[in-house]
Amino acid sequence: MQWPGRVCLRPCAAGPAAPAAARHRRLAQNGCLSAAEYGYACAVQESEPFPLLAPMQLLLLHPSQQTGRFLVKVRIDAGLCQGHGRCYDLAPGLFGDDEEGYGHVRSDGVVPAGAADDARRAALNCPEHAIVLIEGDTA
Amino acid sequence: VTADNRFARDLRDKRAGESVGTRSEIVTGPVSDWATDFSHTEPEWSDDPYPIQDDLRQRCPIAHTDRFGGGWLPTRYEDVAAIAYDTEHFSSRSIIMGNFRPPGDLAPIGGSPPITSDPPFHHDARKLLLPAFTKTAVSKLEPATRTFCHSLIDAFQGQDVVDAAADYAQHIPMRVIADLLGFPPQDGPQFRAFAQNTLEGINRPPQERVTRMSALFYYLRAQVNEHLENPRDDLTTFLINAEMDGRKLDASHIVGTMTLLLIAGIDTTWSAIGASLWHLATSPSDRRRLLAEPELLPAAIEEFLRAYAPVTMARLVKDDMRFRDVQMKADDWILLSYPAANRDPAQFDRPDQVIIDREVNRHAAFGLGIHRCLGSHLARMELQVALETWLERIGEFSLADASAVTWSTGQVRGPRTLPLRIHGG
Repeated sequence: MQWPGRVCLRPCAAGPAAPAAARHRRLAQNGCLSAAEYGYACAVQESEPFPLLAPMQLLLLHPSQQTGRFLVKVRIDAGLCQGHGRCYDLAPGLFGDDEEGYGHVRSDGVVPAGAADDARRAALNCPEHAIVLIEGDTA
Repeated sequence: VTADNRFARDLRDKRAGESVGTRSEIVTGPVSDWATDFSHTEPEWSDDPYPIQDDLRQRCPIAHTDRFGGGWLPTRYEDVAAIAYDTEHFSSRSIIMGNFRPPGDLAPIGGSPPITSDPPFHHDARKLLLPAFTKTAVSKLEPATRTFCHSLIDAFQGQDVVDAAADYAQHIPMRVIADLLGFPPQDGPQFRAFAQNTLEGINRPPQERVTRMSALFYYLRAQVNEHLENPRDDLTTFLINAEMDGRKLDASHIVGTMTLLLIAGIDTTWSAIGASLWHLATSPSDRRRLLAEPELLPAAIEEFLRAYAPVTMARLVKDDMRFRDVQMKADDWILLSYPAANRDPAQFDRPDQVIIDREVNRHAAFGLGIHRCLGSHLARMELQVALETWLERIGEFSLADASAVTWSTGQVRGPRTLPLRIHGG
């Protein structure tokens, strides 16, 4: 799998300067975030050496195109969500708010065709890193 | 009218009087070295804190000061986040870094729950308020807010230069908060004085602060009494009737929360609207792009919140501890700078540039962790409506006099004088 190695220009676990990466790593270890998604998130976040590439990475280099895997489900880690509401602001078709403002995934969390970018955008803008993307194989 | 004996005794308890607690010597004047003597109350900081923060992040990421009885200033996102998440070692019992520390036994409730509360009390006190501040709940206030913004712009008729901070941005959150709490809308100017004393008056003599804080408490007590006589559908009546664990709230809890909503709801959003207009007035390309592509406004608002985050929080160190490479002492302040975190190059691509269509923007303008700004959805609604209405009605505008712009001091930063030349109107 070429994706994380090619695009994650700086090692994501690079110690003290990467708290977000540390949380990603923890999620990845817990089986909540696929390695590809982990690399993807880090790449977008840590594209500093080639900043102009960042928007293109969002469009061109997401894991499905690199690995043959595709986004199938999304969920919110209720232990991390603090109700910022970025998910239901950015992707109201996928996420809603409950009576206290915490985010929830509409329906069963299966991401409809064409909504994968919305799910990724929500995940990449959650200040608490509470959105978990789960990928499957294109079998 | 049923007598409510919760409000019978004088509400000016230890919070209002600042009678119990620790005072430190008031130190003002130019900062010798920001790494060892920082002060968020000096004009150099309020005029432009970002170069100071960028410098500190590189050479001394956890700066110290002996002012305010001693405190620390982390400027890296990582450290700000770690402290925000660590409610075990850092207390919220006071969140305004000044020369007065409330007594330790004020925790875990603090003077203005839930912002000044620590776990476990914090959870239930916050849970009580959350339903009133969801995106769905605050969207009901949108039409009235829009009408009000239009009326403010109507009043610009015949003027070429207007003060967008004093005559526009300021009034929007004042009106929204007055409506939420059920206070007379014409009391707005008093709210401004209360907020300025609380947030900007931290180096004033203690007796003056006590007198001014008392005025706020007398005002709120009068509002509570008025709501006891005439209950209605607003947050004041809600708080009077609310229960936690089957018990009605203490009077000090109710008045403390009303203080929070009044103070935290006004200066903050006023600052965010003002800073956004300041940016657009001074950045013609961004202004023209938003005028041409108004659908970019939500993303632009997030970027303004990142780049000009109005709110800095504070914490008190609970016990002597080591944090990263520094030895912190019990009751040391932490000046928790979300603005500094939001400009950390380790967290944000090109942090010093305002990129109004930024794709990845995990900014911390509304805080991180359990104290995420209760009013964030309200603030976003107000920002959207205020800026949308301004752009729609005013069109082209520019800074009339750069030297006349003034910024607030202390932990809430935004323009307080913002003369703009308006071309449309």
